[in-house]
Amino acid sequence: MDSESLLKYVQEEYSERIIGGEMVKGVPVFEVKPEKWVSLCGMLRDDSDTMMHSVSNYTAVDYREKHGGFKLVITIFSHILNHRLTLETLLPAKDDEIPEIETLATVWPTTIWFEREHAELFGIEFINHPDPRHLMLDDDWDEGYPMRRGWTGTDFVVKPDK
Amino acid sequence: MGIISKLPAYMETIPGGGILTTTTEKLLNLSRASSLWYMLFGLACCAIEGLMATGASRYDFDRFGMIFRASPRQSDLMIVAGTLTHKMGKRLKVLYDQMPDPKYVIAMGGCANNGGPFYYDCYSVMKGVDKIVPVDIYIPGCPPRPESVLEACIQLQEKVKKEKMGKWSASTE
Repeated sequence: MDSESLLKYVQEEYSERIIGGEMVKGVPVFEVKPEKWVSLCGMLRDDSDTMMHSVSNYTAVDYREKHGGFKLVITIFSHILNHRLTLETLLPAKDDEIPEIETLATVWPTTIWFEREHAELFGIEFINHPDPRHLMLDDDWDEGYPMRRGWTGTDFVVKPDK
Repeated sequence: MGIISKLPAYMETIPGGGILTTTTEKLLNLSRASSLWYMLFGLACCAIEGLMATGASRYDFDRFGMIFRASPRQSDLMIVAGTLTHKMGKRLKVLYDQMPDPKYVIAMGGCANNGGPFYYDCYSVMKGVDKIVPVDIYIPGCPPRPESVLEACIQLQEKVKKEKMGKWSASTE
């Protein structure tokens, strides 16, 4: 399926689960409702017209100042049908709040490590995550979430010319 | 000539050879300096230059008596080659504590000296190996040339040769 028809297909078929969709540089990007995040991903995987079996990229962005929360961004790909799309969802959070969302590990097990990284670096809690240990930081790390904007730690040096 | 040229000593020639007199301290120090076995501690790209290229045939670490050991319990020297993170720092301290005295540390490259390119805006990298273990020689560079590593070893050998027997564990002072 080419990008335009994929955009149109997902917008018509899953209209009650997404807030909006647009084409960004040739890739369809959809804003998903947070409570429908896991169910939509599962449906896109099992749908015979999309067959999204592969996760290309899965990341989180700190948009607390711009949009009032964290965004989860996942790019999924179908090897069989050779198309890709990007899903985004906004998790509302202010200041030091820790947003919660259901884990995607039930849909794609490869997201377990991604979510471990998001949990320790951004402070997003994934409910029912099968392996909620730290991935990269030390086990007894207690200095907060380093990828959040404005974070500072004990050994942290800010570049002077900023 | 070997040992005679390196040891300040009194030599008396007798028919069929000679008698060499020196102090135990100098003889032992020369032996230690000429057999510094180093532990492999390659953490990043410096390991390619400092441990692999320098140890291979072109630069030939072995001619200084430097032989790599894979275990801290058999080594006198730790060459920390690469970026040390906070998480790895604890492991480095454990391995350093396992080395028998007298022990020496060479911090190789900018990352091991003071954090290097990761000094600013970095949450995970330790700003220098000397935050957790005492360092004898610092090698600047990113990464340093193998010649710099050889020079550092010569400097360390000079340091070892000057030590007093009672202060062999200089690194823990």
